Amino acid sequence: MSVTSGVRPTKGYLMETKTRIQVVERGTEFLKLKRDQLAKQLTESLDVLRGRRALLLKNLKEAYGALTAAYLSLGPMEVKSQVRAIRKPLTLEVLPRSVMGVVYPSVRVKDKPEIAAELDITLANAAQQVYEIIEELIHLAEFEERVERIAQELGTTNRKVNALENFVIPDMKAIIKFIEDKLDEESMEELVRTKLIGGAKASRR
Amino acid sequence: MKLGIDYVVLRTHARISDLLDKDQLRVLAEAPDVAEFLARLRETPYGEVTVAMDDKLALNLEKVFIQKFIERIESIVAITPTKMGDFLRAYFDLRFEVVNLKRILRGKFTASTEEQIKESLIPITPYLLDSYDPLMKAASLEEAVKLLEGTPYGALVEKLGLYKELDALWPLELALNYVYASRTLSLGKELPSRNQHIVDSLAKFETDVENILVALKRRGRKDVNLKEIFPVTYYVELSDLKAVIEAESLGGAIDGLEEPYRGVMEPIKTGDIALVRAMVRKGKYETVSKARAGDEYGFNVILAFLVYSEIEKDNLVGLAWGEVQGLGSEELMKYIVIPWG
Repeated sequence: MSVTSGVRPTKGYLMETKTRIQVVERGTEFLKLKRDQLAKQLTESLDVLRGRRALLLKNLKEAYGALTAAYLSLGPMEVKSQVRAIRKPLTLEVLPRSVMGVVYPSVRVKDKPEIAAELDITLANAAQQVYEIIEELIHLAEFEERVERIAQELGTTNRKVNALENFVIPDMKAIIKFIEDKLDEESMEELVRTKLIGGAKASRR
Repeated sequence: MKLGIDYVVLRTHARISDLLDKDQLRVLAEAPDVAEFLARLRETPYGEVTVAMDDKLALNLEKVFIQKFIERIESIVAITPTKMGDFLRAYFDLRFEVVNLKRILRGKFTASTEEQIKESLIPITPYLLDSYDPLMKAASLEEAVKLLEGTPYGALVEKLGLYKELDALWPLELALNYVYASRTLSLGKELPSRNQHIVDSLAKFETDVENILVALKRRGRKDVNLKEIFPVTYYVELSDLKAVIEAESLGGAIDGLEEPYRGVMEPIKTGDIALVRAMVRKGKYETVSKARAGDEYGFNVILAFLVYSEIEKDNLVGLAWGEVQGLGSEELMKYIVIPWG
């Protein structure tokens, strides 16, 4: 079906469509800006994410090494017993945050685990490293979620821009052209009609 | 039956040759899996070891090695002259009892079940207490500590105030360390004077090392009550410990220590903190070996044998855990083997 079917070729509709296309074009420009910003954010975030993951893997290996060494030095029974002295669990708070209209969960450490006993130095070191890893993992998960949501939003925005640039705006332009052509045609007809009437009146005189 | 010291020393010499040497430990460490580890263990004086191959395999094996070690202590103490036997029992059994009491208190602190606490205990006959059951059954940690009133661990009751104030277990754990150190040394004083040196060296070395480790953990903290945290010090005095706590850098803190403590703490400088425990074992090994070399026909040999046995037990516990985890032999050998033999 043609985009012009059902269109009223009136001056009022033409003016309304012209106003609408201006708004749509401005909106498209804004969406393009948003798309570019999101793409920039995503590229930067991916670089950070790659770096963070590499660092996390390195720290994870170190923490695992420290934990292994603690087990080898103290034996599993003693490690298990000393770990019992960690009373308060890790408590997290998840709050919504927004970047360029993209909402993502932000995680905050509310309560840290409390080591109440005189932990052996090897275990205290391992516990500290493991806790730091857990915090890093939480922040990494938050960052990954943020990146994923930015990527989703970028996809949506891109589709909107493409739809506006390739379909909505050309269609509206076609409607405008159609109305303008129709109105031109009508005004020509009107002119011819006026001329003919004017000629007939003059010959009658 | 108590026998003459000469006979006990002779028996001990024979048993020292049964200890696993470095090559035997390497063969065990190189076992590809636990089944092979147990098969190779069968070829050693430990013989057949039967354990349930469940998810608690490492814990079960640890209990087996502890049991074997306790049997060794018992077999020696049973024939050692009274005062020496009393000291050896105090040195090992009291240490195990202190470990058990710490585990009970930790269990009570986190409201663990009686079953969980019981499972974590070293299987020994209570030494200074009649039974651990009332402590495990106590409704709270405070109640458990109050049950210690009138026992040699009565000093813990005085620390209850600090425990409540800080909501932390360490004041009670340090009080237990103090009971162990002071009792061991007082029993050591009852030994013949020629045997006192090794006891002094060993017990004081252990206490000093633990004090340094506690000080290192508190490095940079301003609110440290030295007398409360270090109720007993020997060759490393309070002023040395204060210097460790106040040292600006970790390296500086360690470099400021005297030998042998500097050597023991050296791995911390490179970040390999766990190696400190191996160095402590090495320090104990060297202390008793030196004493044994000075007197091959006396109490030193008996104490040396038991210290070697304890190190062997720790090594086997580590090896067994590493085998269960599938760790490589190089990693295992790094932390657990004392370079003798």
